[in-house]
Amino acid sequence: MTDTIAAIATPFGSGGIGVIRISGQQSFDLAAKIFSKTPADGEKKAPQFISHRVIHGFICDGDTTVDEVLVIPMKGPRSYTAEDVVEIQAHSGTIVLRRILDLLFKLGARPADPGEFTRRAFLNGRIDLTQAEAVADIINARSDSSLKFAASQNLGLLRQSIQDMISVLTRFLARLEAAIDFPDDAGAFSYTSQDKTTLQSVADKIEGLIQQHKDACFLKTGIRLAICGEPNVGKSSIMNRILEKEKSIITAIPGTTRDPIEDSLTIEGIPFVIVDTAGIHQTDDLVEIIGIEKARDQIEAADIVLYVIEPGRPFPEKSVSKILPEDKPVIFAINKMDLIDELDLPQLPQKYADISPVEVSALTGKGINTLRTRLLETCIGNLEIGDDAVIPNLRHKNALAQALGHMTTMMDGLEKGQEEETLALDVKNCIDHLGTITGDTAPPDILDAVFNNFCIGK
Amino acid sequence: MNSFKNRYDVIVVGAGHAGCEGALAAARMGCDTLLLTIDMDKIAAMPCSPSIGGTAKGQLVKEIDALGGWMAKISDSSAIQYRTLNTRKGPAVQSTRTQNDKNMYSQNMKHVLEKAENLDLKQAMVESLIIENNAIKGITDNTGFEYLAACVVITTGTFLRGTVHIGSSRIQAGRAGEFASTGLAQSLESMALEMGRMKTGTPPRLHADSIDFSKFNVHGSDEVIKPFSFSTTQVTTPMLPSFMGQTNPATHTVIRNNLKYSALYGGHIKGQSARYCPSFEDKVVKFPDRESHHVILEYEGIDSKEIYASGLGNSLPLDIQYQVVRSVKGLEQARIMRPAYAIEYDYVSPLELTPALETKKVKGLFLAGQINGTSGYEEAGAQGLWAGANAAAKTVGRPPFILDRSQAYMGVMVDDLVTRGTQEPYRMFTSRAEYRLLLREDNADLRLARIGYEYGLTDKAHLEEVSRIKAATEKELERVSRIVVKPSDETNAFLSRHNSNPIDTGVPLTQLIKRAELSYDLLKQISPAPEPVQARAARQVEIEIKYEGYIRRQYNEIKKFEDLERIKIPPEFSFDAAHGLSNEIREKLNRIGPASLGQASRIDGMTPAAISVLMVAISAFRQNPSP
Repeated sequence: MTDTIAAIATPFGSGGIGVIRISGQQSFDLAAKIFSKTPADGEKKAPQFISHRVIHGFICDGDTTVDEVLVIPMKGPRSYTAEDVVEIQAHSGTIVLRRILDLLFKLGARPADPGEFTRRAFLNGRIDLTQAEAVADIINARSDSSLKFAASQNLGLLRQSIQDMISVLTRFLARLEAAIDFPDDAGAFSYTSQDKTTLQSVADKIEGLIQQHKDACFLKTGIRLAICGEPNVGKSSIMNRILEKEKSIITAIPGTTRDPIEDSLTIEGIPFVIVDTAGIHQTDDLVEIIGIEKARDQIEAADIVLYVIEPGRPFPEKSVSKILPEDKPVIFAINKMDLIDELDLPQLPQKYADISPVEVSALTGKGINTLRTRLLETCIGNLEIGDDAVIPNLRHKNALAQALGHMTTMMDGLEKGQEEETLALDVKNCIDHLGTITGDTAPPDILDAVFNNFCIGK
Repeated sequence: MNSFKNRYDVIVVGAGHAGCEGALAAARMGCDTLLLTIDMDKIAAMPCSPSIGGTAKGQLVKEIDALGGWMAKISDSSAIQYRTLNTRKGPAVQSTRTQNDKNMYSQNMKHVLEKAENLDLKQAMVESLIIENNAIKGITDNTGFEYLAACVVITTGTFLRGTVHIGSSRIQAGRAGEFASTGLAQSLESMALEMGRMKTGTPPRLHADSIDFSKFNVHGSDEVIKPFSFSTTQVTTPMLPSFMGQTNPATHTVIRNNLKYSALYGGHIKGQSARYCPSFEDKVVKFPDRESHHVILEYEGIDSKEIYASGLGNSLPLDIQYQVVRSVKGLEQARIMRPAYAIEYDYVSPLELTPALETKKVKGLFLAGQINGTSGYEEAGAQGLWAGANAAAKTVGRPPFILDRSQAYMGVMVDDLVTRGTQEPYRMFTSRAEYRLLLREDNADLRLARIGYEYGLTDKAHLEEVSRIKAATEKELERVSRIVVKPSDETNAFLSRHNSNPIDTGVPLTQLIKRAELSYDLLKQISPAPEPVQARAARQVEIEIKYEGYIRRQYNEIKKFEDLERIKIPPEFSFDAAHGLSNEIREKLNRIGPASLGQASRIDGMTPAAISVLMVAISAFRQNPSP
């Protein structure tokens, strides 16, 4: 715990500045050794570090100036890790940042392990377990809305929700225990309809949280949208229009897109991953066959499917029913609306009669905004996530699933009139699992699991 | 020189339930042991209820028995009623409770002490402890005579500065009518042990001939008597009933009108009382809506007219006690033979003790029983055995005798005491034992025979008997688990006779045994063992199968528990060196000095973060012990 660690704290290759963070007893000394208020060729001036005051200067390697930087020294415990911390804001660029880091390593700093800064913050009592995870989520957040959800967890909403359930279960457990330990005074335990309602509401709440985890997976990893259709209906053009940039190679030769092509974007803060797939039709070309197989896999993995058709071609009912999944939302887009008269639209078969197709023109951009809105509505319509939503992560979800299992066993047992002491064990196990979410009863192996999910620098 | 002996291996001060078990345990382990009592006629006295056992307490008594202790055997030899509690619940939480003839209990224990090898029983009042270089050397009695030993076990119950309260009257007494011990309290205080004050109490004793028993419900002994001790084969004492009645609004009015005269509510008592054992004043004040509370009348002995009036404990003046008692239906003419009273006494914070119940400040000085802030004969007896065994282990150079939380209720209790301390008189509950499905009365000897034998607490014959039961259990479990019951008219007729659903495919026998309406015993008719299975083994087979999934789960939990328990904290390790602990946690760690990371994790207010910090610091310390 006493050694000093350093790492690049900003993502590689993005943004105008890169931050190097140093934490540990020697962090001030190490920073002072490589920092000068004047460039290397001038007269070297030792810095005067004042905690929480930004200082301007240069990082020097002997006679060479490495970069012009801003340095923020922070004395513990008023720092991210609660140790002495120095942050160096340099010009972003992998080579510059690596050189500064190397200087620090030569002087005795050690490369930080994944998540080590947050681990130290946790171990030093700066943040609790749910907060530590929320930090990881903030770092990993790809969009505004997922950042917002991560932040709400940081405020302890999940913690509160878990603690509420624990206190309900604890009260119930206390009744079982009283019946066991004070059979003469407390009388027999009886399972009332009120109990049933109360326990069911806890079980529902746990289930709800598990569902929110699933929903939020969309928000953290992006909703997968697969664009498919027959060859040369303009799938790639539509994708590019949605993304508003050239990604797929577009040619007039049918079958140009053989490997699925992926990109991500956000629509009103909701992240999407869009996959362009090879056109699906009967073919003998081996490369295309493989492409079509891949497209099928992509459709399988998608959360939502955009099926593109064009006017003047009959609706390929047979192949559509073969490839379109029953359990996923589908949007139909009619492309090339610039070419035809509105009266000549292809008819959707009876099965899809309820879905009104979106009319677009990838060429002119007409209808693309409507398509974006439709995408959003279709995906988000089912997600009930408000501003104050509580989003459990994967570790939470696993603990919740375990807790739910014990709830189910226990409630079955109650119906069957099972003995109090075995029921109590299920309630207790359920509480223990919920407790691991807030870290109140977290055994160390859970901590390891949490911190292994961190990337270097935080 | 001295013609009489004044040097021993182990001296035990106090011959209550803790002292008797402690002295007998040390003597069994081969130590030359001296047991001192203030009053030779009060050995193993029952100053409060005339009963042994009850929920969780019964488990403690069985464990004492499994380790060669005497509480269960003496209880069987003096029992006047047997009840198994919680028979409608599973075997893990069923507990034995006996009602006992108090004099017979005391007499029988005295005989055992008198006959025991390696044991001297003497009457003396200990005035002070002889301590040199932070180690105990012996004791001085109130005549100035010294007894010397390298290990001393103090089991003074409520005698340390005991004060009996009846209304506003205050009497210095260890128990009503007995000397309090003040010299010893000062001696302990001079060692700078942290001490506190607790309160307990006892109900009035009524004359049997003055009671109209016809107004009460009669509760008899269980029809089938299940002896307390694993070694008792026959109970010969006569059984007596107890009587259940109720208080009424008139009783409660008497209390409300006279609260100011109560020692408890008149501000005379500062000691901490137990929430689970309220006095009658407490019940009336704290549950104003209840119109009645139980009153249970129990005989104190076969030849005694004294009736213990459970539920009427109070600290009111005698005239008001009369009003309270006589307001109860059936007690209109009752004569009080001994008044109820409250008693306050000093206790030593158990955080001063190591898991061996040895004081950290004075080597060789052990404390057991009520002096450690506990309550109950059974809790006292268990600690006495534990402290006596540890005094003896120290004498003969063995490692401390310590059972962990997964092995015994005793282990749970001692770990609770030395890790978390206690804010009120500590009583055993089954809910304190996280592995309670494994820590049952029925398997106490199966759990503890090995360690008991290794420490010399029990003999080889006992271990062999237990091994036979275990082997028979395993053999039968193995047989039963391989059997699949095939559907047949005969089988289904049998099932329907026992209100159980018929089967139409082959079903594992264990599945049938698990059905609530069936049992191993019943199903023997369908699938008998090739040779008869002895009763103890048959019972184990039944429990193992009925509890199967839960038992497996508890074993898995124990594995996790042991992971932290195995990480020992070296005695030289300084908690001040662990970077990143809050001051509050650091202070507690320094005070309690946990022996393992597991124990540290159970300290009140401990956080997972602090445990991680400790884990890191301990492994750093191991690699580089010099700071």
